[in-house]
Amino acid sequence: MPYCVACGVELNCRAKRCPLCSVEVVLPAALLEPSVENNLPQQRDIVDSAFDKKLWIQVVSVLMAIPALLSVVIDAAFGHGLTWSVYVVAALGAAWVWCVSPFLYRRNIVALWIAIDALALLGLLYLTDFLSAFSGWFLPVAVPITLSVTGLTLLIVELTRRKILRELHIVAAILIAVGVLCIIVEGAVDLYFTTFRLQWSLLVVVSCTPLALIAAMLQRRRAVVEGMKFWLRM
Amino acid sequence: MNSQAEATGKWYRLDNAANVYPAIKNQKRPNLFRMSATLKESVEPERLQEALDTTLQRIPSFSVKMRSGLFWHYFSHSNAQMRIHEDVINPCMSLSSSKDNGFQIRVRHHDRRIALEIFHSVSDGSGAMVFLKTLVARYLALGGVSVPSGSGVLNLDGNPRLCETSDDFGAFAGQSTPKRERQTRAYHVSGTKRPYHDIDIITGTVPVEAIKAQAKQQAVSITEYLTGAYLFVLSNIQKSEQRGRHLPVSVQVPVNLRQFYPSETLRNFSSYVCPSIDPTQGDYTFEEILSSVHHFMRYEVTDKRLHSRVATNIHTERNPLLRMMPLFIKDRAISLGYALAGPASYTSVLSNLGVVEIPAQMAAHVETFDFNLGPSPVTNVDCAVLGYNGQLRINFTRVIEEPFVERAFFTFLVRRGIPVKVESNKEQIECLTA
Repeated sequence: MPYCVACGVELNCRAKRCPLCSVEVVLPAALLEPSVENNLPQQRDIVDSAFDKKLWIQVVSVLMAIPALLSVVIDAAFGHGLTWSVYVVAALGAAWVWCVSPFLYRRNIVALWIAIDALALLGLLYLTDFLSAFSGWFLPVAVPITLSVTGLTLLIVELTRRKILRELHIVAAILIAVGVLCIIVEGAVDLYFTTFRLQWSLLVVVSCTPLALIAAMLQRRRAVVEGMKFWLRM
Repeated sequence: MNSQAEATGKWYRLDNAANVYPAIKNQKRPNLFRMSATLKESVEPERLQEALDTTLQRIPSFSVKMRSGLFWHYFSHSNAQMRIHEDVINPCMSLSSSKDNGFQIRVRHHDRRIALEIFHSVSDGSGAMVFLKTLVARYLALGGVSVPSGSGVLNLDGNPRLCETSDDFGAFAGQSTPKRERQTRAYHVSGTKRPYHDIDIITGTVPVEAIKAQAKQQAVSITEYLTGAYLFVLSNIQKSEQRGRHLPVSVQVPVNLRQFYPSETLRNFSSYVCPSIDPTQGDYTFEEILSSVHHFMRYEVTDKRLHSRVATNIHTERNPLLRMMPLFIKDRAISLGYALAGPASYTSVLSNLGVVEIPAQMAAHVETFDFNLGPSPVTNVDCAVLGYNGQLRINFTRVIEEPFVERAFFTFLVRRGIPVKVESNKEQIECLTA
């Protein structure tokens, strides 16, 4: 019978590693018991998902395809070639990506679907910029704002996933992110049109900061946090 | 639809403890626990199915489906056949209306093992063990083994008795309803969460005599010794995490009320106590924790104290305001109460079912029994214990990747000179997910 050299516990004859510390079990060939069979179950209980991902993707695809197709047909038949329908199709395409991206993979990788959503949005904005008469705003305005939104969202999601942010700390982080984002939006727009001068975004920052501090302080009151979780059914 | 209908066995009120579980169940917290018996020979599925059919006729309170009324959940008896299932590596997952046909228990089998997974509203550990023993006895009887009734095996030729389905909480409850103590947030073990449909089970087998000798040396019971050891390792884990603020470490220990009241019910009839230590008061030695647990248990686990504890719950259930609430509001109110006073207030559960005794004719065919708690997304690690045939089976159920609680617990026992044999289902899970 094998023993774990690190934990001192006796192990099952078929164990290749100690279940407690993962230290490998090394047995001399003479002590190996090849006749010992693995008599543990091999099946896994598949838990019914409360949400049918496949059905959702199918329904969303059909719902998006119908207006897209209608737009193309109407534009082509009654207009002067494909003009406005390109915008409709592009917007519906982006909306389809946003609706479907969380359910594309079996494991829900949040960072991945946020990145896919950001790419879809950038694609839509680029197309709009490219096709419109008033162009040139994609790189100086759309890209920094979209990347900032994506970056801040990813940061909050990752910190929440790693449990560095919890409950009302998440609310505080979102409020701070809104303030930072407003500064970036105003900065990018200012730089594109005139010169950099922060005005309205500072008002947002001044409003968000005390609210974030209150949320951070309330996090220490367990009853408040539990009450909030209850009403949100978390 | 009242006592007459209830007496005919068509429907059952949920007992006082059972009302909580439908309100708080979800996929991550299915509120199931599991008991299993490993026989000395392979299980024949057809014979097991026949044994289950007969056992459910004798114990109809287990052949029920959950219904929702306007004000309360209730069980309705079902005559539909409950099918047995092949055992799985991730037991105690939530009941499925399609696979389980609405039943609140499921019976599994694999190789030499017969397992019962049961929603906690149906019964507690003692009631479930009576069902499992009766099922196994019937299975053996169908194979030609004569098993007498007694030692928790019900006579299958008899009829169901009303006392087996009674809610004895009301009769047990005392008059005094002390104010509930303010619940403080307890420390919880943290780690990398596994997907909710995966659980790890690590089983430690310990000779009862070895642990009994250690407990006797400290003048405590086996449950007190295990609880003390669990509190000690949990507080050490918290210390090693170097948190800014150390929280109290508390272990919930269920108490079987049948030892204080002559109840024969197979439904829930248990309460609990929560021995704890506060690390902010200083570093506790194991002996200090043992002494604290011992005196706490001797003070709390008495009929008088338990009468009051149960009376408080009964008082809440009979509150006219709560009774008048429609079910969907009541469920949310219970859910809030559970969030405030449930697992948030204790670190883990240690449920000791005690020594399982069965008739000698049956013992010749049963190698071992096991008891597992279902997954808990708040405590992350829970522990269930039972004794059989001179061995103590200590089963840890874990929903996080890291087995540091089990390691700390079992290595603690080994350092105290108690030999431990460890098995796990993890290797199989890794093979399947690879």
